[in-house]
Amino acid sequence: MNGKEFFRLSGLRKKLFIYYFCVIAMMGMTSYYSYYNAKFILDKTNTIFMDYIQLNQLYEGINALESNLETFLATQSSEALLNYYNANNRLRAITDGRPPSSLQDANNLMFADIYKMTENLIKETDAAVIAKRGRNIEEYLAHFSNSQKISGYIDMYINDLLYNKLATGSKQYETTALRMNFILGINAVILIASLLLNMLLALYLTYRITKPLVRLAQAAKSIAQEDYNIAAVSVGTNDEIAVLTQAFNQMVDSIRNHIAKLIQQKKTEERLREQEIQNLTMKNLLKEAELKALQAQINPHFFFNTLNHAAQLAMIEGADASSTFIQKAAELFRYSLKGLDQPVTLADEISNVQSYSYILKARFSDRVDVYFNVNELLLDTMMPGLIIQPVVENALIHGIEGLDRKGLIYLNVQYSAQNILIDVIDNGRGMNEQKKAEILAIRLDPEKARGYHTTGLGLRNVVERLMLFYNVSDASEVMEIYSQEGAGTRVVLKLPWKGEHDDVPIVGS
Amino acid sequence: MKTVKQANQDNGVFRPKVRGWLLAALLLLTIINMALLYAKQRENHVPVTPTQFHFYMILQNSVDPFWQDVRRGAQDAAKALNVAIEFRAPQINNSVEEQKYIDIATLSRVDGIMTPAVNNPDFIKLINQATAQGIPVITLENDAKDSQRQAFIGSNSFMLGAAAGKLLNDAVHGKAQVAVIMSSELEKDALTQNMIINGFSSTLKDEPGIKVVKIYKPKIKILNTEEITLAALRQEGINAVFCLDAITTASVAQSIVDFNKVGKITVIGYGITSEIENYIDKEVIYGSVVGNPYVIGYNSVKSMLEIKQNHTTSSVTDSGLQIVDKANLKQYELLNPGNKP
Repeated sequence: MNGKEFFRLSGLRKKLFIYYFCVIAMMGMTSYYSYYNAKFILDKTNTIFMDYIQLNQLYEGINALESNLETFLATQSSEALLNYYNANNRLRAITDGRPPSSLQDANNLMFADIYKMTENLIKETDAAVIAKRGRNIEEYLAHFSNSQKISGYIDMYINDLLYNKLATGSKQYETTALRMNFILGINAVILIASLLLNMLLALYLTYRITKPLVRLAQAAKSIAQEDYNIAAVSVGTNDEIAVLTQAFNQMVDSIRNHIAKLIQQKKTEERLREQEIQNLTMKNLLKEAELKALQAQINPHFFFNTLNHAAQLAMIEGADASSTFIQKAAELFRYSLKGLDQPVTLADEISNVQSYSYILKARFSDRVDVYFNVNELLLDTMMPGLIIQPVVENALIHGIEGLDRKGLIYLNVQYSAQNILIDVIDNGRGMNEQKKAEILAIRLDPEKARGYHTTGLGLRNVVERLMLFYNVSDASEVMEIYSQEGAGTRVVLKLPWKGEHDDVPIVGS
Repeated sequence: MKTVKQANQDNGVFRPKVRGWLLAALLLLTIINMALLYAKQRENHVPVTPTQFHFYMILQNSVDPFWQDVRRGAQDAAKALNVAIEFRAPQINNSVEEQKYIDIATLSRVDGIMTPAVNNPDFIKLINQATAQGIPVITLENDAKDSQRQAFIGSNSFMLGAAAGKLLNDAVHGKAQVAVIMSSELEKDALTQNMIINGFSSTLKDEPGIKVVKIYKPKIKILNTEEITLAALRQEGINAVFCLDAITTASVAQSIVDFNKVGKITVIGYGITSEIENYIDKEVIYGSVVGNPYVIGYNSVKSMLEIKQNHTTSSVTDSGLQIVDKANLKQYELLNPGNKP
């Protein structure tokens, strides 16, 4: 810390300095007042006593002078003369030592008289001594009596002066004593007042200076206990503590902001991670699906290509029937490979059923006949794929197979006001009521809807897909089954004119 | 930021209100201290103006209001002219003591002596001794004509007596048997008193109805004035009294009240005291001839200063006199409040 810095009175330092200055000034004033009073009283007493001392010296000196003179006059001894001169010198020293003083005061005037008379006394005694030594008896007696007279006057004056001094002194003492009591009272009052004021000042200033610190400390404690939700500390002063407080408040703000930012970041990160996990799961699922799809599709494709190749081979060899047969089988396969989710036209469906029936014809020759009766207006109607063929297949497998008589299957496509009606009628064994109810009781079950093979699809699958496609909840809305055991079965597929899908064209209007 | 702003408004150590109180308290303490110290210092500090001269004034006695007034006048003059005066007075009239004081003053080599004088050789010798040592002497009220005194200041005794005679004549309308009671300092200032009686008598010379029957000369003042008064009152036909000093005047008036002779005897007094003022107010005393003691005192200092500075002054100064009776009593009291107790 250099000198300049030392003398710079900044905030807190100034406060403390002013406080100490106040206290010191107050106590100093009080002490000075007391000191002055004491000195005043001492001075007064001193002057009184100084005068007494001086008067006493004078008195003694004059007495010594007189008695020595008398001794000398009586004995004429040189020793007495020496004593006389000693006394004389002492007295002169006293009278010479008197400083010139103001003459206004009556006592001072008397003092002046006494000194002058003493000088005259010394003159007279000296004259008496000289006369005595000159043996001039008359003259020395005259001077001696003069000196006696003068010393008598001086005695009187000294007595008067002492009396006056005593009188004025005692009067002065009375007033001084009164004043002393008053002064002491005032002293006490001032002392107590300044003490009280000092104490108040100390209390107040301590509180004033430490309050902001205490507040700051409390705030800091809160921060230390990780409670960042504190109000900004206000100290109401303008010193280093205020600067500290401001810095502290800024720090708290920064910490709070920082924490908020951290929390935000963490949230974002979590979200990102979740998303990543989701993405990963989805990718996995996708891969799995792709794998499944590959597993499912490799064989049919290979098989389909093989069939195509077989058909070409048969054509090259000239076996037209075989070629057509294989061709049809290939078409049947290809259709089933298209996937179930793509809507197809009714014409595609019909053609698929025709391919299937060709194969049936080849397999079962004259044991089964399939008849088509299709309203050509409806051929462009869009519908889910592989719907009619399974129904025909179902009629063949469950109705015609094992039948003694010739099996007949009719496929009629007509329309009513609400629906396109696709009838698949067979003359097979028919189905019992229980089986019929089972099929019609189908509810949509998304879990079970998965995983059906594209070939060999049962009625159940057909119903579910129709319900999905047309967004209906009741199986009877898309399918009706009329059956009589031993007589045959009629399955009616009811395709509503207008489904959820806008791409289903409105036909026939 | 808000807190910082608030802090900026409060710059000092204390809040403004507290600051005000503190300042006031501090100021009050300081002022009280200063005032007390100042008062103390003033009291301690007697203004010292070195004086040029040390004069010595002897008064005839320390009780007579006349001489108190002389003292007052001298004190005032001393203050005005910046000289110092030392006063000495015997308890009661005592010319021997006066002589002793003159001796002391001479031995003390004062710058000037003012004293009432007695025209006797001892007194004259002392005055001459002082003047021989270069100490000027001024006589007051009573002169020592034969001495070497530089000046006399006082009322003209003959004129005083004449004024008293005139006052008596006014009171009794040309018909009276008068007794004169002289002052006790007869042996000291017989000359002065005789001059007064001369003045008194010569005024009444032309009045055939007024006769000075008897002149009483008391031996000791106060103690036998009552006796003298009684004698005077017993004297057949006396209906007027002229007293030659203030104490006798008051004493005679008291006796007249005591013997129930108020209105039957006319009293002409000399000098003034609050007692005499009272008797004049009650018409026990018809009137009193009053010198100007204050003027005597004042002028003596002035004259002494003239002597010291110019070595000359008029050798006789008539300080004048006045008559105080019922008519102008109030006015006199107003102008001379010093007599009030």
